[in-house]
Amino acid sequence: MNRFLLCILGVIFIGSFNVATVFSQTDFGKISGNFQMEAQYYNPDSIIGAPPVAEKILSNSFANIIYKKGNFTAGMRYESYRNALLGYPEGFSNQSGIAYRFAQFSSDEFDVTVGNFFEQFGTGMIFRSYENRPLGFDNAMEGVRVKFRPTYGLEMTGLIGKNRLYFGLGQGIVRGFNVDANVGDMFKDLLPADMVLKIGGSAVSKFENPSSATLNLPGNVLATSARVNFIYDAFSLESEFAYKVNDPTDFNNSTFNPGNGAFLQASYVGEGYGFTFGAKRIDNMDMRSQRSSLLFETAMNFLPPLTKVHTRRLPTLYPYATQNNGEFGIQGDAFFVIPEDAPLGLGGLNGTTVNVNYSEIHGLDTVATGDLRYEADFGVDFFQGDKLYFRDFNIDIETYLSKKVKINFGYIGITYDQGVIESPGKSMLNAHTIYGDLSYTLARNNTIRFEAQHMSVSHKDLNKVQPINGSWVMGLVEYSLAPSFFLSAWNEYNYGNKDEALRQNYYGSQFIYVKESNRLTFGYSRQRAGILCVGGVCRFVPASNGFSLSLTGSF
Amino acid sequence: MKKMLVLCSCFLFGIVSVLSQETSTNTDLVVLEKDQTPSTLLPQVKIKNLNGSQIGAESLVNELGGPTIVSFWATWCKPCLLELNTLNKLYEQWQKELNVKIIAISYDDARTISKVGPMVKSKSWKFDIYTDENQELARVMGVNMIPHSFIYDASGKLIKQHNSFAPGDEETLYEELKALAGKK
Repeated sequence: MNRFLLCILGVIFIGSFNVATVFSQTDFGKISGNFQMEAQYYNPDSIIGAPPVAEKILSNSFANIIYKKGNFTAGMRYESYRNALLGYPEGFSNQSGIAYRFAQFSSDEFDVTVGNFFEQFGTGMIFRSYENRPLGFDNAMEGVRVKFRPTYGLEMTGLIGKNRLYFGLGQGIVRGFNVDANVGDMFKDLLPADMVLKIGGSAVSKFENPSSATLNLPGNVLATSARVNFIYDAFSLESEFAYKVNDPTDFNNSTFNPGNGAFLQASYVGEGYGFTFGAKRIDNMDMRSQRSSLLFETAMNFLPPLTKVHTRRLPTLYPYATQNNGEFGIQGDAFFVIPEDAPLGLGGLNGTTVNVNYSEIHGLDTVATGDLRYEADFGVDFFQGDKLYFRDFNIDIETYLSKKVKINFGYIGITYDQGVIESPGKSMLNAHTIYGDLSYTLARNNTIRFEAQHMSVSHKDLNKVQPINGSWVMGLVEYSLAPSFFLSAWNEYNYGNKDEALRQNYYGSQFIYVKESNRLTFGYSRQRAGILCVGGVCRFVPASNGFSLSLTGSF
Repeated sequence: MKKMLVLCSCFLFGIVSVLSQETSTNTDLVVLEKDQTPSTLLPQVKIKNLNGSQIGAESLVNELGGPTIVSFWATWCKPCLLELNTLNKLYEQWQKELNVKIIAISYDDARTISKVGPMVKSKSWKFDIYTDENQELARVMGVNMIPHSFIYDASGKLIKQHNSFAPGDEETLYEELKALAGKK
């Protein structure tokens, strides 16, 4: 009997190994995610306005974990701000917790998400929910979203929920519906092979209890938009038109005007070149789900500026921020390559890349008509000075002089109304930047890069200049040992500051180690105050002096 | 004694049966046979092509049967443009030699997405280009910073990812792709 029992145990034991092996071959799904930790040590530096920080060390961290099996996905994000980095929105400070969690079923016909989600209708003019961690922007929705695709080329989306507000939710309830139809995808052979026609429409409304004792505030606010996109061969045209009923909020000074927006973008492309032209007019199109919100709290839509994203350091001192209460802008781009066999060696070793860009933004001419309303002219005087908020002409050229030497140089000329874009009481200014960048391959995988910039700044009203003013010069050296090591050092000198005591050097150095998708950055910098803008949404960054450490990775 | 022998035999048999299970490691080379269907690389998320048509990311495959690079980039990202310009010069050779496919997914949002088509055309890039305007796919794939590239073998298995580009990285990448394609 005992031998028999022993054999049975043995068989069970062997069997359990094989069953375990079968289970391990069954698909249990996949876990993936990413994380980021940033910490900075702050030294007070009164000359540049770097304040003392009681905690000495401030830190932002987050980690996303996502589980996926077949059509099912679930995930969460944990965030920690103990305390938040200087300049980060105050609402995050000294908080941590699970800020984002969701479960989603997705198939070709249906997509259902419960919990937190991000979404965009059309260009985002009446609805966009998204995140930008460096900025501290996160207006994720919490609620339910359903997508239905009854046929190829047709998608309908419905959602209901509330916007995230730091570690809580905004007051207003948001409801939205969107339809996008690609006519050629829906009806095969209806359109010629090189033609695309897409039409779409959205309706978004918010509800917030009217709370004013003196004003008859609307509880429900509806916005609608319609769009048409057309492509034929090398030509394309994208358009969107939006309308919003009256929506008095603290941001628009409780105006009872309705809002409207119009956007047009055309482009023409060919082998080796591309041209674009865009125009956008917005009048009272700020939308947020909580009436009392300021800055970018509970934003419901996305109104990006029609201006170029500059990555050169000095021009980022004067970035444009969209004026949601009203503006009219135009922008044009030309991308082309001078071929390598062009005369005078203009084509370099294998072609010279050129990008020319121009943009101009004006405020609308408005006249108050009483009862918290106004009338606005449709047009503006482009190329004249009237109510000019921002103008930017820039040219960027890049080419290889030889296999080892690459150069990139250009010019950026900006006119910037600091009093409108930042805050009243500041002057209009002009800033002309020239820059040059040279990369030299020392040996296999070893490259050194030199960069120099000069920005000449003139202020229209010398009585309204800010502490940071005048002209600058900047130099940077970067050494890279592919694929893992980067070492850089830089200095910016505000030599043209009207106040001699503020003619300061802002220097720094940084070491970066990269191993596959993991990156460790360690550095020291004495950094000027400035504005950090991403997508036309901006926040102030105070001056700082100290060491910083950043670790990011994906798994 | 006999009981011990029986028990030990059972345990030995169990251990041998476990050890005899097939295992795969990252270093195993996979080369698709002629009629084999290429595997899914990306999760089930909707992205768009340059004509604005919606495509399921899970439908993107390497029809050539070799390794695949999926690279997230943006028109404003200098290291991304350096990486893709460098790979564009080598792409034709890599396709013929190693059956490599490069899929470039733009991270541009509504502010800069209109520049994607004209910039791609001006640079004569030969890759398959898609857009991820609200960063849905990037979020699901854990993309935090760009450039962020994913390298898959011929069976669709993720072998490596990296989120930087320095001149000379293309040589390291070439050696990795050669190993994945079973070449020396």
